Amino acid sequence: MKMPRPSTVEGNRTMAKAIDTDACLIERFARGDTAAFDRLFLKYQDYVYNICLGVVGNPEDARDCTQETFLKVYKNAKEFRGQSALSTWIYRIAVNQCLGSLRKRPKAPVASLDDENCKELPDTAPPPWVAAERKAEAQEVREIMEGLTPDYKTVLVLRYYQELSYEEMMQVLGWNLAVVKVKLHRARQAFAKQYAARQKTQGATE
Amino acid sequence: MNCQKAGDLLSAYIDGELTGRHCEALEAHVGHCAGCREELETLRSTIALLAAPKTMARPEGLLEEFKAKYLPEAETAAAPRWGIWLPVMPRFEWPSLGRVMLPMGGLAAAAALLVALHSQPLVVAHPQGAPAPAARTLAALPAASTEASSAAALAAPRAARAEGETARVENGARLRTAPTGEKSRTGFGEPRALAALNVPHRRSRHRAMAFAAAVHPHHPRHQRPDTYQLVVRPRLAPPVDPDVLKQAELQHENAVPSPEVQWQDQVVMIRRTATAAPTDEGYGEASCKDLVTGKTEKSIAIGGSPSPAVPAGAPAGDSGGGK
Repeated sequence: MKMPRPSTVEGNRTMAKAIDTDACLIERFARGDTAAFDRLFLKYQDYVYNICLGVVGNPEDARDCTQETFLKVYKNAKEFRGQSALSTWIYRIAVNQCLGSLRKRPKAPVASLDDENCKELPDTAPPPWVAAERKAEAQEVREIMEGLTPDYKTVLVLRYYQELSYEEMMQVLGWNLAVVKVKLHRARQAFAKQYAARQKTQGATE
Repeated sequence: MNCQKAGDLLSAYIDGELTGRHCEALEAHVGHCAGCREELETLRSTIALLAAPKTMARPEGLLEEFKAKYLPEAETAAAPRWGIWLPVMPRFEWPSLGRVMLPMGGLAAAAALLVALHSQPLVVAHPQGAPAPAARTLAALPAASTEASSAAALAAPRAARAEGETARVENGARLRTAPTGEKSRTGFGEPRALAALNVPHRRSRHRAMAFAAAVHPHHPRHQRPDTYQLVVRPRLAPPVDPDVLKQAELQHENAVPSPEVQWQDQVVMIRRTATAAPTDEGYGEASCKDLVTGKTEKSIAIGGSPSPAVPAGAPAGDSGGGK
């Protein structure tokens, strides 16, 4: 699940081309070219949707968050100065949007253990070659993450679902390196605790 | 290392960021602490679980939904239904001081004209203070539609401000140079004195410095031109007439020396002999040798009547031999 990273991370030519295209797209859109915005939307919609899904939990809210994110991108494209990569800027907007929607949501059972809500592929049928245990594992991961606090959930999603580097996470979350590392460590520890608890209960039931 | 610190370092150790003595200490601790070992293993499996490859969810129809639902709402929300559109005023740039100084002469004229029209007392001006009371009266007067007054009203605050600045600068420069006396002869405008003044704009500061330099007593403008350079030209001798020159030469050649000059020309040598023994009559004898002829003459008596026969060959100056 790799997404376009800034060309400074890898000296990949295709990545550099992608970043040039990013800069071109946003510049063209700032000047008024709406087709550039369409291309930007199609390019980033999957990544943004997956971040929202990981943080928010259910697909409907994830769709709403995605649309809100792109609405903000549409409105504030002129304020993008190029200080960070376009991808980290968009992810930052997405994360803030998701955390805001989490705060607004009532604190009632967020983690719905129903299989329908927690499905990873809501619209498309899962490909047949996906191993059942892997699906179960992924399901379980999703369930455990639902039980974590928003900060920890966000850190885990960005690190393990989007595979961002520390620098990118610093830019997206607005924390410094030490805070990012500590939060990641504590998120892992919380996840591990919950996972161990689950294994115990599952072991007990089985 | 205790278990709490080890627990904090576990994540870094798994990521491979722990180096040196921290790494060794952690490994040593994990070696003998079962609880930390278990925690390490749990963390490793958690990370493996999280880092497992995942399939990405691909939503559909987002762009169409965006264009259909979200964008029109945003645009209707952005445009105000009730609003007052203020016309944007263009930026007004005050005219520069140089251009303002020119109509300052006209400012007094405009002020005088307005005063004549409205018959209000105008504060009589100290030349430096002329713009300020003029500005005040202009402000007090009802808004006149004449171009001159509007231009003057616009120029007056700037001019007044500039005048105030320069007056301050002048005072500062004078106060600075007066007490120090001899010491202040290093330069014209003292930069330190001017830096202490808070003149905001670069242009005004430059003008203030130029003004300060101009009023400085050492400025060339203030040097009195009382020392004139003396030009010495060699004077040519007047042209001499050749006849006059020849006559002067003849006169020079035929000139007869005066007796004094004649007597001095003669080389007379007096050879002193032993003191003559006194004779019975009480007078001594002296001899004299004439260098020209080589003869020695003796004088018989000194102080007596001169001998009637004067030895020949002696020039007339022989009489002086009896000294």
